[in-house]
Amino acid sequence: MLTKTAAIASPNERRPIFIIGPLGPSPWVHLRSAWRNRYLMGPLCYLALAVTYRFTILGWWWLIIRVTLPTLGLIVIFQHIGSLQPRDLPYPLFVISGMSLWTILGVGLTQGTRRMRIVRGISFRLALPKILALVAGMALPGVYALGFLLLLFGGIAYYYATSGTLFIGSLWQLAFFPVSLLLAGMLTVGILAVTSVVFLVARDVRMFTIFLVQCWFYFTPIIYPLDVLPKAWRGAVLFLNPMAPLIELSRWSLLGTGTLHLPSLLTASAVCLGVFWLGLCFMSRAEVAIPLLPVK
Amino acid sequence: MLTVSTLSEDSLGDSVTDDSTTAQRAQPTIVELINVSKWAAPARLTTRSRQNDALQSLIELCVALWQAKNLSKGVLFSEPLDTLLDDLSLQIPAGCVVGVVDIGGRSRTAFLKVVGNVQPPSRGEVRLYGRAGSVAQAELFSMPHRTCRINFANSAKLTGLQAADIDAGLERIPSFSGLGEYLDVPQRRLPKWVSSDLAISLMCCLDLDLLITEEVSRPVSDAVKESWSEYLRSAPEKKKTVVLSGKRVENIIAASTHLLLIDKGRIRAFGPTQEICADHMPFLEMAATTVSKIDDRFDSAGSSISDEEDEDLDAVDNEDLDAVDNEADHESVFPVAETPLEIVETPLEVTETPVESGPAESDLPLWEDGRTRLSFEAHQFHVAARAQGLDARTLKRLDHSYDYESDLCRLMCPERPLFRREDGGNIMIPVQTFVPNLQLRPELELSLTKQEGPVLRIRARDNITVSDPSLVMLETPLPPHLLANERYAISVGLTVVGDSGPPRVLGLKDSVKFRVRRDDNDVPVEPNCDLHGSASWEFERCTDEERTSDTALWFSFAPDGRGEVTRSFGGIPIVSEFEELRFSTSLVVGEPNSEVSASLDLATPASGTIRYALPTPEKITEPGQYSVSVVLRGKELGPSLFRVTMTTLTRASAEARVLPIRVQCDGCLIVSRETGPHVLTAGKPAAMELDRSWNVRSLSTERTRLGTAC
Repeated sequence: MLTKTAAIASPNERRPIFIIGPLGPSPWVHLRSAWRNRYLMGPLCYLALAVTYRFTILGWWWLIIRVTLPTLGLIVIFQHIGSLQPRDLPYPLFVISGMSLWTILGVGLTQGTRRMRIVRGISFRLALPKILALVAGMALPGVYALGFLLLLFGGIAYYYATSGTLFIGSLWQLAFFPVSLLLAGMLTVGILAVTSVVFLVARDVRMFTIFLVQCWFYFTPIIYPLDVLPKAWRGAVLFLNPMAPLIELSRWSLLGTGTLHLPSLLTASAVCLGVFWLGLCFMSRAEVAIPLLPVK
Repeated sequence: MLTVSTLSEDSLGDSVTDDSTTAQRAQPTIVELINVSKWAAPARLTTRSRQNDALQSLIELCVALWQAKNLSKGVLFSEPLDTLLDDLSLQIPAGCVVGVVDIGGRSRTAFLKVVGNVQPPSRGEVRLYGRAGSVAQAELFSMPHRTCRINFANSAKLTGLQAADIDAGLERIPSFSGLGEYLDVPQRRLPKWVSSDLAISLMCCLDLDLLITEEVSRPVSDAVKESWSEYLRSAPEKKKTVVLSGKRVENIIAASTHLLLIDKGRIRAFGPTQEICADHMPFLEMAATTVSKIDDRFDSAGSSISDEEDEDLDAVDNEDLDAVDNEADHESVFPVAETPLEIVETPLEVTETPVESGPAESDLPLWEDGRTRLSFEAHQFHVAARAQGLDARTLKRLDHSYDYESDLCRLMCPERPLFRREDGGNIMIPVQTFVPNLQLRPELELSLTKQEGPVLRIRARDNITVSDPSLVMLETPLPPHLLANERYAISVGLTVVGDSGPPRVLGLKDSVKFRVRRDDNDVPVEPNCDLHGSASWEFERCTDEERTSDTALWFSFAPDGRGEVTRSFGGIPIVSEFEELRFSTSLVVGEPNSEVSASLDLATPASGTIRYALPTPEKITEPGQYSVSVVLRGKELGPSLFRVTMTTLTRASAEARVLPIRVQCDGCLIVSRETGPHVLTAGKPAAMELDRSWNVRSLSTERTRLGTAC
C-alpha cells in the first residue's frame, strides 16, 4: 500500500527526486510507476530501433525495402482488378494511405510480441514498468508509418504534377490522423500487453499473432474499398473490426475523400480504449507474475 | 550524526525512525524507506508437473495472474510467502558508507535491490533524495558488438542521468581505473574482469549521490581496488553515500562507517560500525559463518539485450541434442566370450600399501564443485564454533527458523552437505504416539532430488516398541562415507506392526533431523538407543530396474596407471554388503603365447591402496580379444571412497595397457554422477571375507551388447 506523498512532508523539506514503489497489481499503481519512469522512454525507443536491424548488411535500408516493396507489389497486382478500384482516388494512394495506419497494428503486433523477451535483460537490473517497454516498442511501427506517409506525400505530389489534382485533406481533416494513430496504437498496445507476456512462456503465441495479423489484414479495407463488400458484410466489418473505421478515418483525414461512419467510429474508439485498459490491467498483474516464471 | 538509534532485542522490526531525533540530525537524508516489504517468490505455483515445459509455464503464469493480488500481499493460496523485508522504515543519511549484513544473504540482497531500483518493493515506498545508481546497472544496456563507451553511455541514460554528466563521468574513467584503453573496444572482446572493473569505475566516476554495490570486494585489478578504496574513504567528506554488502562480513565491516543489520527481514540495528560491532557481535559472527550466495542475476555482467531478434522459431533447441546419451558408441566395445578360461586355482595376492603421495585427508578435494567446497568449509567452521558439537541439519521443505539457543538447530541447507562424509551422522525421526505398547517399524528413503525413486532405503531390522504414549525420537546412524556429494530428499514411512486393534493414531512431526553427536574430544559417537527392539539398522541398496546398459561408468587410464574418469552419469552407486562387484576390462592380445598380468587397485584416503593382482602372468595361447574380470563382495570393501584402477600388462608387447573398465553389480551397472572417485560402499563394517576370483575368457566367438551379464 503506498502512502500518499503529499500528506507526508519530507523530513528535510526536500522533495524526493525519485520514488520507487510497487509496479502492480493495480492498473493505477502501474500507471503511476510508468509516469514516474517516463524518462526511460527515450532510451527504450532507441533500444527498440537499434536492435531491429543489427547484424544486417543493409541496415536501415531495410526500412525502405520493407515499406516500399510489399506495397508496390500489392499495387501493381491489384490495380488491374477493376472491382477493387476506388471511385474517387488513384489506387496507389488508396493503398498507401491504408497501409500507413495498418502498419501500426501489423508491425506493432508482429515485432512487439517479443518485446518482453528483448528487454528482459534490462528488467533484471532495473525496475522497469513493462508497459513502458511496449509503448516504446511502438517507435518501430511509428517509423514505418512515417515512411508510408513520406511515400504517400510523394504520390500526392506525383499525381498533382501529372493530373493537376491535389488529393489531400484540409488542415482540420489532417488533425484527425493523429487521433486514428493514437487509437490504433492503443489497440496494439492493449493486445501486446497480453501476447508479449504469454510469449515469455509459450512461443506459440507469436505464430498465432502472425497468422492473426495476416487474416486481419484481409478483413480490413486496405487493398479494397468498403463499397465492394455486400451491405451485410459492410456492417459486420465496420462494427466487428475496429481497424476498419480507423482506416477509413485515416484515409478521410489524409486524402480528404470518402465518408465517415460515425457509429462504427465511436464503437471502434470504445473498443480501442477498452482493449488498452484491459491490457493495462493484465500487464499490472503480470508485473507480479513475471518474476516468478522460469523465463528462458 | 545518525538519524536512528540502535535497537534493543525487544524492538525488532519497529521503525527505526525516531521523530525526536529528527531535529538532531546534521546530515540530510539520502534514502528513505517507508513501510517497505518484499516477499520471496514461491517455490512452486502448481503441484503437478507436466512434461511440456511451455504448457507448464503457461499454467503457472495463469496461476500467478490469478493470484497476483494475493502475491502482492505476500500470500499464495492462503499460505504466507517467505518474507525478505518486513515492513522496513529507515532513513539513511548522506555521507555514510552503510554495510548491510544479514544471515543467509536473502534479506540484504532484497534490500540492495529495492534501494537500487533493481526490483520494486512488494509494498511500501523508497524515496531517493539524490541521484542513485547501482553497479549492477552499469551494464544495463550491453550490446556485445558496441564499445564499452557506447554501452556505458546508454546504460547511464537508463538510470536517468543527463548526457553531459555521463560524458564527464566517462572522461574520468581512465584516471580512476587505468583501463582507459578498453573503453573503445567492443564489449565482447573484453575479459570479464575488465568489464566488471570498468562497470564499478563508471559508477564511481558518475556524479551520483548514492551508490549501491552488492560486493564490496568486487574490483579485480590493483588500480581499481585502490581507487575504490579511496572512493569509500572519501565518500563521507564528499557527502556521497554508499550502500554495500558482500560475502565476507569482515570486508563489509572494514569498509563501512555504518552497519545495518537485518534479522528475519526486520531491522535489528543501524548505527556506527563500532557501536554495532560492540553490541551485536554474536549476530555478526553468525552472519560470518553463513556462506551466502548472492543472486547471480544481480551480480552478473553480460548482454542485457536479447540476441533472438532473428531466431528461427522452428529450430530445435540444441541443448536437447546435447543431452542425448552417446554411450551407444561403445555398445560393442567389450563383448563377452562364452567359454571362460578360469584360473580359479591360482592364489591371489593382496597387498596393502600406504598412501604414498597425495594430499592429506583434510585437504582432499572430496567435491569438485567449488560451491560445495565453500559450503563444506563453512560447515567445518560452524562445527568448530559450536562447543556442544551441534551441527544438526534439517532437510526438505521444512521451516527454516534458526534457534540459536536450543540444542537442536533447524536450518534448511538446500545446497550443503548434510555433514562431513568421513564422520557419518545420525538421522532422527520424532514421532508422537498416543496409545500404549505401540510397535513401529520406521523406514527412510533417500532420493536424489533430480531422480525418481530412492537410492538408499534404511529400515529397522526389528520392531521398535514404544510402551507409553509419548514423543520419541527414532535415531539411526549413517556410517561414514555412505552418502555422496548430493542433496537428498527424505521420505519417512512408519509401519505399525500387528495392527489387529482399532486404527492407531500417530503423529509424525514434520521434521527429520540430522545430528552428529560428538564426545569431549570432538569425535563422533554412536547414539544411545534405549527403545525396545531398536536393534541395528541395515542398509539396502535400491535397485533401479530401469537403468539400462548404457549407463556405465567408464575409466580410461594413462599408461602409467593414473586413473582418469572419462564420463559419468547420474546416480549413486551404493552396494550392500552381500552383493557382488565385478570389475572387468577387455584386453587385445596380438601375439600368440603372450603372458598377461592384471591388477586391480582400490585406493582410499583412509586405508591406502588395496591391490588385487595375479601373482604370476597368465599365458594366452591364441591372439584375440579377452575380458579380464575380478569379483569382489561389497562387504569386503567396507564403507569408503575408492579410486579404482585396473591395469593389464602384456609381456609380449612390453607395454602396460590400461583399458577402460566397467563396474557391474547384480546385473545392472553402477552409475555415478561425479567426475571423480565414485562411492563404493556397503553396510556397516563387518569382518572381512575373502571371496574373489579372476576370469580370463576368450572373446573371439561371442560378441554381445554392453551390459549383458558376463
